[in-house]
Order: sequence, then C-alpha cells, then structure tokens
Amino acid sequence: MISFLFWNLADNEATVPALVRLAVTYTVDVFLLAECPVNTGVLVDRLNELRRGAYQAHEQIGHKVRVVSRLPAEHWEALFNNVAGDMTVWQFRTKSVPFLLLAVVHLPAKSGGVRESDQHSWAQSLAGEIVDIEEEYRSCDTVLVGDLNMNPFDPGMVSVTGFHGHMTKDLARRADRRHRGKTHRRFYNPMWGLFGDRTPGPAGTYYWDSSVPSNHHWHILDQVLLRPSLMNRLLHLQILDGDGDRTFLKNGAPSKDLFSDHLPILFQLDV
Amino acid sequence: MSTALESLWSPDIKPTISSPFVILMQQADALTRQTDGLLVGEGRVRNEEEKSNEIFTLDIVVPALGGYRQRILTASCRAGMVYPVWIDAELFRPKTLGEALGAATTVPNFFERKKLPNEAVSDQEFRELLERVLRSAEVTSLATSLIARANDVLSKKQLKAKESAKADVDSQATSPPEEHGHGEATTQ
Repeated sequence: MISFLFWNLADNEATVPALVRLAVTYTVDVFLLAECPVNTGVLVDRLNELRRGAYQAHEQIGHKVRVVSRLPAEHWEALFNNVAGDMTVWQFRTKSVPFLLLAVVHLPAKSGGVRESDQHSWAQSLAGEIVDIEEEYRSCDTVLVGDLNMNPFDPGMVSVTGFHGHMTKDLARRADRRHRGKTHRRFYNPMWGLFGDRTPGPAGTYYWDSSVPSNHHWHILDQVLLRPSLMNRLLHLQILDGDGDRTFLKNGAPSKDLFSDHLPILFQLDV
Repeated sequence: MSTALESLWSPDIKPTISSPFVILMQQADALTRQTDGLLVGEGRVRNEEEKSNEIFTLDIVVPALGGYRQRILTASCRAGMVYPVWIDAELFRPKTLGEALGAATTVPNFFERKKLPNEAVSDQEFRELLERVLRSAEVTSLATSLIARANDVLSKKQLKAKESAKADVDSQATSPPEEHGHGEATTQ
C-alpha cells in the first residue's frame, strides 16, 4: 500500500512543519505539492529528521507540482511535461503495477477572468495528452491528481471530451464511450462522495466566502481520479482538516492565515 | 498592344506556402541537428473532433533522460483550413492578473474582430510567431536545462563505464595466472 498526499500549499512556509506532522500522522509515502513555498531540499531535510525512510525530491524542469517521496528513486521516471508545466506525467513501478502513470496537474484558477469554457478547453487538451502518453507506453493504469481548479461536476471534469470523470464505479467501468466517431476513455472520480457533511471530514477542499446569490461555499478543486483498471485499488480517500496536532481550519474554513486556502487530500492505493 | 496582367489577389497567396505541420517538423529537425541529438525535436498532429480542429504539437524529447518529453507548444487550426492557426505556448500565456483580465475582456466582436497575438494567418506569420516562441527566454532556459541534465547523466554513465573498465583491468592484474594442468591430469 502506498499513501499519497496532494496539497496546494499556497506559498505559505507554515505548511512545512505541517507536512512533517502529516508524514507522521498519516505515514505519507508520496507528497505531491503545488505552490511549494520552499526549495524541496528544505522539506526533505525536515522529513528525513524523522528517520522514517529516506525522502527524496524528484525534481523535473519546468513542472508546477513538486514530488517528494520515500519510495526508491529508481522507481520514478518523469515521462512528460506539457506547455507551461500544468501537467507532469510520472511513471512509477511497484510490485503489483509495473507501469503506473501518475499525471499530476495544477490548472489555472477560475479567478482572473478564466471562464468555464477555458477550463473545458484545457481539460480537453490535457485529457488528449494523457491518452497520448497511455498509447505511447501502452498502459491505462493512470491516476490523475492535483489542483484542477474545477469541481467534480464542472463540464471540464465530466464531459466526454474533457476528463470524462464519473461519480460511481459502475458508470466508470462501462466500455469506452463512442462520441462523434472517436472513442473516449473514462475516469472514476471518487471525490463526488466527499461533498457535504454526511461523510467524515470537511465538506470540500476549498471554501469560497462570497455573498453572490448562488454560492455552494465548499468546493472540491483538489481531486484524484483513477482509470477503471485501478479503481478497486483505492483503499482510502480523505480530505484532511488537520495534521493530527493542529487544525487547518479557521472559523470552519481553510485559511491562508494559518496554512493554506486549500485542504490536502490523502489517498492510499493497493499497489 | 499588350499590358502586364495585374493580380488583384493577396500577395500572401503564392505557390510556396507550407503547412504549420511541415514548418514544425523542419524546426524539430533543426533542434536535433543543433544539439547533436542530445535533444530530439518531435512534431505530431492529431484531430480534436469535438471542435473539428487539428492540433499540432512540438516536443523536445531527451533520450538521455529515458525519453522524457517536454511540450513546447501546441498549435491548432480548423480541420481542412490550415490557416489561421493559433499557438499555445508559455510566451503567449498571461503572466499577471491584469494581463489575464485583459485577455478575458477582449470580447470577440463579429464585425470588428481583433487578431489575437498568438494567431497567424499565413505561413510567413506562423514562422515569425514560431521564431518568437523558440527564441523566448522560457524555451531557451528549458532547452539549456535539459541539455545540462542530459550531459550530467551521460557524464555519470561515462564515469561508471571507465570505473568498471578499470576494475576489470585491476582484477585481471591481481588474479592468479590461469592454470594449464588439466590436460596433464586427464592423461594420467
């Protein structure tokens, strides 16, 4: 089993000690970090003081999301980085899955004039690039994870021409969908199940405090999606609101004043 | 009396026009030659059927880094039309919130449509935009960084090879001379 933690750190150095505490509380094997405030060397040094394995940074030129892991370095290989480093695709080898593709993304935010149609367009482009890589390496064992800056229900996440993410395993395991003469692979998006307060943990990964007429307040912008071949290997998925010692919430919402305006997601794969 | 035939057609219309894909492939080859194969340029084309678009991509592939692929740009045009073509590259992406807002408020007006900064309507314009991208600070630093990392990997490999060759020589020098007594033993 491998434990992954993705977190958009919002360039806040206060997150570094929190990452160390998270490593202890949740036995994190792989950190995937967006907007990292420090050189990963600093974080690696702090993590290795724990004496819980040898953490290393897997650096790649021009990528937006940093990878720090205590899995052997020879198990990791960067395969692809797209324009602007929005998405880096890594391959890592495990005993049970010899060629697991890990697509790590950080897409532009909705603020700054970005429209839903722009996000759909980026999703379409990235989904195409993922398929290209899958074809090139003849593997569909793909995990897509990161700050997508979209909710699971946004068109870019759901559309057959976007990431084509489905809320249930039954939907995701259906045969590839034929649309306008082309076949489109599916993703399983387990994040749907984490909305609201009927499941453990916070109601989302991001809170938008605004008086606009229609505001659902909690958003799940940070997500993990899996190809159907991997969905039964997802053992655990959780949005974290604390590191075991300190809470990430201020007045009930994630705050940059404390740590980050995003909450981390933790997932464990049986690989 | 004969008069010279005056052409009323645009001077952009000429027999030597190349498609964006051909131009990208030429530049892919140019990179491979310029770096002695340390970096390999690779152009690809695919269809985006939902929008009836053709997408061209230009990647840097680094054989020394296990075939790692860095996308430099994508260019898209309407299928069958070739031009105009729009380039997506780091160079043309908004760097500040102001730029992003400016880009977002450039509402396309059917009657007064402004040409976008990443748009080329001819092969000449495409070449000019492409040159700007390929010579941009972003692409230059990416390419030089990839070359440096590739050279690091190759140097380490060469060093390893030298060390193992030296170890072989040393082990041969220190090993006892080969025995030649088997033949005699069997003749007993």
